[in-house]
Amino acid sequence: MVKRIRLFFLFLIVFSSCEQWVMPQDPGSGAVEVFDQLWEDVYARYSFFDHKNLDWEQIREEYRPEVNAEMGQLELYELLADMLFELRDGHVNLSTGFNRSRNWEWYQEFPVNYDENLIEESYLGKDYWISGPLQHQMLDDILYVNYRSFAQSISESNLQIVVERARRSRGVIIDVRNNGGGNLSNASLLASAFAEEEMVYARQRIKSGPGTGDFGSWEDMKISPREDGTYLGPVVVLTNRRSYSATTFFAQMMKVLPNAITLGDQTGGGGGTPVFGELTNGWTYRFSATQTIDLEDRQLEDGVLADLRVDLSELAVSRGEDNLIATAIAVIRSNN
Amino acid sequence: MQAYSQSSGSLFLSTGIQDFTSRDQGFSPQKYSGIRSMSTAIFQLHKPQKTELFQFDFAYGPLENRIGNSMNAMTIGFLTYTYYHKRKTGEKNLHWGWSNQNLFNIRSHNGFSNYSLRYDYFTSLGPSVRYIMPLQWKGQHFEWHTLSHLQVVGFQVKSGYIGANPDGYSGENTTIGNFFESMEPFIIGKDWNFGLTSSFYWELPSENKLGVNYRLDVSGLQGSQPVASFGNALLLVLKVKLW
Repeated sequence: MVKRIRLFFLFLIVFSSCEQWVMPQDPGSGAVEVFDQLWEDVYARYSFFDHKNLDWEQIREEYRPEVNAEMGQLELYELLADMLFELRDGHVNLSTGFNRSRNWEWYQEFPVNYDENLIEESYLGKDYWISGPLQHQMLDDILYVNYRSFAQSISESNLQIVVERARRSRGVIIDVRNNGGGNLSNASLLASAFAEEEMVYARQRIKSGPGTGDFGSWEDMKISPREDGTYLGPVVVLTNRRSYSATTFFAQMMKVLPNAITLGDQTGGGGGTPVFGELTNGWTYRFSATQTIDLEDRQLEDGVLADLRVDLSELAVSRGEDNLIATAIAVIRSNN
Repeated sequence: MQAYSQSSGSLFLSTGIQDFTSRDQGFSPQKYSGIRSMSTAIFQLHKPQKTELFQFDFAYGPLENRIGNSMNAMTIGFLTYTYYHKRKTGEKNLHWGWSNQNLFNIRSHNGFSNYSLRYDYFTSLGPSVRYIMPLQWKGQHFEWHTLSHLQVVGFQVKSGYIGANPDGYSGENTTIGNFFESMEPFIIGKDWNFGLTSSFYWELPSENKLGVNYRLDVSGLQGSQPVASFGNALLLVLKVKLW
């Protein structure tokens, strides 16, 4: 019996210590290891190498020689941030606690086309309605709705008020200029209030392997009419280059509706849903891992083009007018 | 009636803690570890030449990696054992048989805004062995049970390269269609699942038993994003004789 008990404990010790065999130690946290982890993960999961004609191996050859075991955290951060900047993607960030890298060129090099003070002074005024994140005001017989971030959730009751006011108007202007995105479900909910029937507005595919062209199949993205009531009159959506990510998706949803158009500048893009990752030194990052195309196979990453291209006029602003809103009002009136 | 009288049924209820480590390459190359709560219920049907055990497992708890990021990990398992043996019992014995493992793991990462949920499931068959050794000490009856299983062949479904949905999953397919599109084989050598359970029981005057149970669970599923886990658990067990 003693022999069997000894044998059992021998097995137990052997099996209990097999954790190292099942799960080897985490990768190292030195500068070289951290660089390699980030470079490899981006190479394996980033979705726009082919679309943007980026040679990630070439980028490695450029940056890898600058990494050494002695470099400080700040130096390493700057090197990795510069490398990620090459992706030209607003959904790419490296977060370190002391700084967050980003590429905001998707709007910085383009006209702003939006003046928040002008909106408040000349259009929202002092008695505008606030329904959750939706700020709305009647401009004579047209409802103007301003939504500044899709990260702020819309409730059904918020939306119901907007729909009821829209029904008493000749048309609706939805201003999502400078809306940098947020939660796609808020975009779908808002668009559902203006849809008559279920419609495919885009198609999306997700990375499915380490090759730059490894993707799953294209899947339809749809909007459905809101069950508690919709407004099917004319709708104009105002966009600019700072309309990004979920706002780009919202613009595309509205663009396919027969009763809606987009007006202003094209959106900034952000058509890839970001996936997250972590490095062994404690830093985290994200980058796009999907592709989304419109019904004409155009990448939403490049932005959604405005149906009616209009820039904000300095002359109009100087006389206290937003000429995009003025044009939207004219479009709605011409439809009635 | 005769068959009924020749069989016996018992229920093992146990609860305790599990030191659990998991690595899902779909989330991170880093290990996540933590202490989870774990509970198990086993129904044992003992017949003259065969013993069957039906085991339900549940474990849940937070895991953390070395840089402080966390996830919540839940495991639900259903494991059956079938052992074949001679008629006589009540003495030390080695029993051989087979087992069927059904294991579902789901992980929710607390630091990722998108693609924060991943899971894996497999069902498999493999050999199993148990050793039972009754003991007596100062007039008290004790029993030492040890059993282990090694899974050999089956199939698995697990989260895909990026998101929670398995590779091959499509919103346009039916549920059954998706299940078959997403299914991959579980084959020993490529995939692993091994378990060892050792319990020490003290027999109460009521014929029920109290015991402590040590349990080791090891799993590894390969694929585009490999998943591995390793758990050590210590549980308190109450064995209730049903008939």
